This record gives sequence, structure tokens and C-alpha cells, in this order.
Amino acid sequence: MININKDELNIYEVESLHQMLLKEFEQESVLVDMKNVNKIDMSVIQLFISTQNSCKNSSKEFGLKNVNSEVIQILKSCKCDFLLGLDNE
Amino acid sequence: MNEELKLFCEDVDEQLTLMENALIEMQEDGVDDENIGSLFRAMHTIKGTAGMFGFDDVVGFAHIAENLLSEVRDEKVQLTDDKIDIFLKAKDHTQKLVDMAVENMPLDEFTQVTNDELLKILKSMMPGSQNEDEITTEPKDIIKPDNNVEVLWHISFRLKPSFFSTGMDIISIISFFSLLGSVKKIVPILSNVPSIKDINPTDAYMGYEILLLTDVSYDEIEEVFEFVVDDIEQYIFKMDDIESLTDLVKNSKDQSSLKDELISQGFYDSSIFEEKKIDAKIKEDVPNAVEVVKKEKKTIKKEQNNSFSLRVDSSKIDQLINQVSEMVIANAKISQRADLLDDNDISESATIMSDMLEEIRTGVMNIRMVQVGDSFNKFKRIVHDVAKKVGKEIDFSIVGGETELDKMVVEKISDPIMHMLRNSIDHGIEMPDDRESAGKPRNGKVTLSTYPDAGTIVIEIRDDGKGLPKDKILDKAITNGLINEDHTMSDKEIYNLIFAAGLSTAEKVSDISGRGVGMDVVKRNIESLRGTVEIDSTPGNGSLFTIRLPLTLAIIDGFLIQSGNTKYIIPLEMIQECIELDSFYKKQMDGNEFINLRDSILPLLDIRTYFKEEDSKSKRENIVVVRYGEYKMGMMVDELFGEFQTVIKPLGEVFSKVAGISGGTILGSGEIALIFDIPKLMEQKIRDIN
Repeated sequence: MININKDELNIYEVESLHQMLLKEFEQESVLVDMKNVNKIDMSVIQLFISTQNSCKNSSKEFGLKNVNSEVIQILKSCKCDFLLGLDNE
Repeated sequence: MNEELKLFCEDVDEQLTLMENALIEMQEDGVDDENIGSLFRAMHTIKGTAGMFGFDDVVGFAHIAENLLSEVRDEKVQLTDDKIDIFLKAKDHTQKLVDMAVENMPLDEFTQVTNDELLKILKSMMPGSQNEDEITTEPKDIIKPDNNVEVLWHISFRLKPSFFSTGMDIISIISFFSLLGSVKKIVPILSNVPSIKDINPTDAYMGYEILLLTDVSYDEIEEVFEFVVDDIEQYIFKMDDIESLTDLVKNSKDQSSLKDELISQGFYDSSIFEEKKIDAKIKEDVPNAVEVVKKEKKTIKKEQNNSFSLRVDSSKIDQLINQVSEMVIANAKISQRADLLDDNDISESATIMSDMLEEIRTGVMNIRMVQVGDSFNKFKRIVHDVAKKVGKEIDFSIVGGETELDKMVVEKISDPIMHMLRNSIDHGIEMPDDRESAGKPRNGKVTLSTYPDAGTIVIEIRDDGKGLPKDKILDKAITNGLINEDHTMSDKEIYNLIFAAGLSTAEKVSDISGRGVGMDVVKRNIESLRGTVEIDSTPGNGSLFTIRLPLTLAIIDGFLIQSGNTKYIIPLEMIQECIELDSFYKKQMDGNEFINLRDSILPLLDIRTYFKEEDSKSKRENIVVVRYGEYKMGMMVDELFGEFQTVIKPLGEVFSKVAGISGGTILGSGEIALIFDIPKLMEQKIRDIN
């Protein structure tokens, strides 16, 4: 599982996040612990969408864990809350 | 505060300043289209950007002000002096709303009442305005226009790959639609997002299809994209506009069929596409007229955007200046080493490097330079308000607004200037009746001029008021123990006593000035910028404050000299000439510290004596003639080394009390050279002469 230790994930972190996700993608599942994250931007959402689609096509599991209410609100406002697992919604 | 909010605050500040300047200009010179356009654009921009952050109170207020300004622009409402005053209040109120929104504070009672009152007034100015009681202040209601005809709009947009590099927040833009009306459908388009292995995470691939039920116009929907128009591809059309829908589907570059997506997401019934026989996958080779027009429009836009301004955090420029400074020092070391080794090649390269560094230095410094006029224009409003408050009539003018000065200096000098302007108006300029009886025009004249002079920037505040009360200043200074009764001070020195702490001669303490604090703080603030301030006054004719500031604060062109065992730097711009102190001049001096230089007396300052330096081994003695303002002085030194790019380094506490030294610098050899504070040395010399 990838543990994010940032308060905010945005365009400045998206490349390093991509590298982490690529590494995790070599495993059977890609899980991201979002408990420390309070804000994300569209570049990060887009990367999660890419990862989720890639996982789906490779029959792997993708999940965002411990997503806090602020991030849920952001995902809902841009209609990308499909990224959330059932436990987050 | 995050970066976006900081940018928002800067933008609002800029827009409101433009608005204020336009209003004051129209108050003075009459209404004109250009200034009305500025007012409209300011409110329009603030509304748009505040909307992106969801600052509803700001959006609501700006929207009403913008509507009224739109009517003014269309000449349906006339902009009278009363209305200009209301817009000035609206400008102040907008700033307050923005401040509270940024601080995430709810409106306090006072601000809410002001908000409601101003909205009522603004609405009552609209042509055919309704009963005031019917006016509501809910932002969402405010956004609704008057005609109440709701239309279902289809908004389609795709982010261009470079979108994220603009720093704009697309999520806020999407959220803003809910303020415009009811979002019936919103679907992200994901088919263009590559797989995790192929994606470039800093490129944008997404898009959105939105159905919005609203009674706002096409223009108002388009405005939502105002700041990102070059970074997205957008279509906005009424849902029943089948022709535009055809265009959208036909021109779609999505990986999957947009037609299928729109049908499956319930935007349109499939029969609409069948009727028109649209096949999204068949693209015609010949572009249709709409496409051509769009392309032409975009080309024009691109050309217009070739020159653009960029906001950069000033700390980044400071960092760059520091790095250039370190390079200057390192290059000086190379140069010194080359001289020691007598290596011409290295010496030549070091010289080239030195020239290049100078160019870089000038370039970097220029980034920080701003025209003072942009910042000084705000004083028009202050003068206007203060004059109104004290019942005086003032003609205020700004001269030399195009003069450039370091932005940080401009910001820091703002408060001292404001204080001096208030003083001039409150105490300097007489009441209109008094002026008339003194044979002066009723309107007092206050001028703020700026011009470069000998490596410094001079800022003058001149008024044609009654001048400073010399006797009162003297009495007060003697009472406060600042000077003795048997003083031998010149008039100018007496006037400059007002910069001493606690010396106010104002008969009445007003809320504008005259509390006895201020002028000493003014002087301290100016001195902290390595500047000087002095005052001159003529009874009955007015006063003149003169501020002198250095052009830059980090690196200067210096002139390296030696006296005794210490090396010193003199700012090059202040040097007029260097002459040898030969037997002819020595004979002239005859024990005094003066020489006759081309028929004018030049006072001399012996640096070796002044700083208690050891005797020099140098055979030749020199005089460096320096000028600061109207004063000239000769500095007696031992060695002259020539020009030196000087990186100013602050000196520690130990040197803080040494008058005449403003900083230090590191030479190529690693030695320290002290930088002369010429104004202070001159002040000292003049005091000694007197």
C-alpha cells in the first residue's frame, strides 16, 4: 500500500506519485492510503483514473483508502467519486 | 495562505487600484469611456475570480456593481460625482468582503449592514429600479437576471495538454456552474486518459459534458472560462441547437464516440442523431465555416498573447540576486588570482565573465524595477479623502510616474509618503478662505514628483501652503531639550528638527496627523532603505520634503580605494572626479580642510583621520570628489584601485553605531572592504563646518 504523507497532492507531486503508482502496479493490487491528504487537484484525480482503468484492464484491484471528507467533497464536485471504494462513500 | 489565494489577493488588489484610479481621474477630469471600461473590467474580473473560490458574498456584490457599470458603459446611467463617491465606497467594501472571504470569516454585523445598504443604493441607480424593500442580498438570487427565461445549455469542454501548467483550478470552475443555475447533468470524459504506463501525469487529458439550466446569458456562461480560454476547447450552445450539436460531435477528437457517450449518459435521445444522420466517426476533409472562423479567432488570440506578464514570487528573484552576488565575489577571486599568477588568458576570461555578470545583474535588477506611478496613483484617493475630511480644496499632481524603482522600495516608501502627504494637507495647506485672504488661489497645490539623480531616486513632496512654523519648532525643541537656547542652527536645520522623536507643533491633534509621533518614524523607515529625507520651507510659500533613495539594495557599482590599512568602497554614481592632492592644493589648504577647485570651495574629509587609520605608505595622496544632492565634498584617500562590482553585505551589531559606514563587501582576495555611507559622512562634515 502507498502511504501518502502529504497534506496536499497536486501537480507538483503528481510525477513522484506516478512513479509510486507504477511500482505498486507491478503488484496484484494498487492501494493508496489517503488519510493524511486533505486536498487534491485534477492532475492527481486524472492519475488515479488512469490507474483505476489500467487496474481494471489487468484484473487488478485499485482502491483509495481512508479518504477524508474534504477529498470526498472534491471528488464529488467533479463527479469523480467513482474512484472511491464503498468504505469511503 | 496557499499560492492560488495569494495570486487572487494580488489580482484583486491590482483591479481595485485600477478602479480607484479610474474613479479619481473621472472625478478630476470628467467621465470618459476608457475609465468606465476599467471600472467594468475590474468588477467583472473580481466577480469571475472570486467565483472560482466560491466567495459568494464577493460574487454577489461584484455582480450588482458590474450590472450597474454595464448600464453606465451603455450610457443608460450617467456617472455623476455622487455615483463616483458610491463606487469609491463600493471599491472599499469589495476589498473588505475579499479580506473576510480570504480569512474565511463570516460577515460581521457592520459589514453586513454596509453590504445591504450599498446593494440597495446600487440597485436603486439601475434604470427602472424597483422598490428598495424587494431587493434581496442572497448571492444566488443576485446572479439571476431580470428576464427569468430559463434555458437548458450544453457546455462541452476538453482540457488542452498544457492546462495544468496554467495553475488554474478546473474543479473550482466546474463548481462555479452551480452558482449560475441548476446543473442537470455533469459527466467527466475519461476516454482520452491513457493507461498508467502511457500517461504523462503533468499533461491534461480530461473533459466534461454539462447540461445547465439557467437564465443567464451565453456571455455570462462563456465568462466562466475567461481565464482559461486558451487552454481548453469549448462548445457552449442551447440544447435544442442541433446544428451546434452536430459540429460538436463531428469535431470530437475523443477516443470513444462522443455521440454514444451523450446518448448513454442521457443527454440526448438517439433519434436526434438519426434524424440528422450524424456520424461522429466520419470527418469531412473540408473544414466547415464555423471551424474556420474558430481557428481564425484562435490565431488572433495567440498573436495577442505573444507578450505576456508573469507573476513571480519576489523571494525567487531575491534568491537569484543572491546567487549572482556570490558569482560576482567568486569571479573577483578568479580575477585576483589571475593577476597574481600574471596569467593573461584567465584574466581575460575573468573580465569577460565580469561583463556578463554585470549584464545578468542589470537584467535581474530590472525585473524588480517598477514604475512608481502605478503605486503612487493610490495617493490620489488618500489626498481626495483627507482634503474632503478637513474641508480643504487641493489640486494634487504626480510628476515623473514613469521613474523606475525597486518594487520592495516602492512598497516600503509608501507609508512615509502617505504620512507626509497627510501632514502637508492637514497642516501645510490653509483653509480656502484663509488662502483667498492671503492672495493665494483657493485650491492648495500638492505635488509628488519623482526623478533619478546621481545614482539615487529623488521623491519630492511640495505644497504651496503656509510653510513650517520655525519659531514654534525652535521653542518646542528647546523645551524638549533637543537643542540649547544658544544654538547656531540654520533655518534648514531647524526645519529638519521635526524629524526628531516626539516633536509635533500641531495646535490641534486630528485623526489625520499631529500626534507627535510619525515624522521620526518616517525618517527611520527611509533610513532603513539607505535613504535620506530633508525638509525645506519658506514662510507663506509652502514646504518641500525631499527623499533620496538608492536605486537598488543588493549590488552597486563601487569605486575601491584605500586609506591607511583599510579598503573602502564609494558608490560610483556619487563620484564626480578624482584629483591628486599635490603640493599646489596642499599649499592652498594651509592647515584647513578646504581647497579651491575651479573657483569653488570644496570641503575635504580626511578619511585617515576620521576613521583613525594608520599612516599610509602611499607616496601619492588623492581626493575623490563626491556629490549627494546639492552638496559636494572631497574625500582625502591614499590609494585608488578603480571600479568594483560591490555586493552589499550587512555588517553586524559592532558596526551599527559607526556613522559613515553603510555595509561591507568581500573582495576577491577575501579581504573585507567597508562601504561608505556618503550622505551620513556629508551630514557630519556639514555639522563640523557649522
